[in-house]
Amino acid sequence: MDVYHAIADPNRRKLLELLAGGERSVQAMMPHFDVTIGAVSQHLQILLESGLVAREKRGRFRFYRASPEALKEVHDWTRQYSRFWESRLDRLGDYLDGTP
Amino acid sequence: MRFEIDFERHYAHPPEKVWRALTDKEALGQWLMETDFEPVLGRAFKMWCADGEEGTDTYLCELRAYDPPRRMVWSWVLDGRQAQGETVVEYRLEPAEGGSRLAVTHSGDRDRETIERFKGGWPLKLADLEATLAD
Repeated sequence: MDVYHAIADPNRRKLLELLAGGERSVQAMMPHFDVTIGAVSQHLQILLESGLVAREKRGRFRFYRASPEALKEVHDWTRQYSRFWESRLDRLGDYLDGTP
Repeated sequence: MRFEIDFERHYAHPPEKVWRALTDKEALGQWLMETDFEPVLGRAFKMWCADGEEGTDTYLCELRAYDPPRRMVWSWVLDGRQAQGETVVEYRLEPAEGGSRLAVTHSGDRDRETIERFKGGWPLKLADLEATLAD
């Protein structure tokens, strides 16, 4: 699952922010949402598949927690390669302008 | 987990000229990195920095698709980091008003083990990440 797709939705970003404060069950997060528990579960499923969130079953409840490593990694990766390609594609323009 | 970044540039030069700059090793050495690239499908090649700007890293690459003067795909992995999985660079070139439009997509996968490892805290602000992605 694409991490960019995962964070594209405002409800999923809200879930990430809630989980950033510590692990929680779906039930505990419901008061923060206007949508159904089914919809929240579906958003959590997408976050699970992207690696941004992990889940653990304890007793009757499932607890969700954020996996910030996944987000940090995509951030580092993006920043590193963005800088690289921006500067190189500028240089390609200069090269083309200076070549007959 | 998949990573992907896209770039698009307009150059005031015809596609044939831009294509030469993408596929000639002397030209690549001028704007991208030093390389032993040859336009032969399936051929492995290396890229490295002569000026040490990015250290002495060497990238191991392979020509995966070659459709002049429209599309070219390279695999791309930092030497020593093969275990993290390769990345893929795709160039798409087309004629555009007054020249050409070049789109570059760099994508890759990272193994899930590193990703699943949980560390406490939340080192990043989502807003920062969004700003980065919006660039």
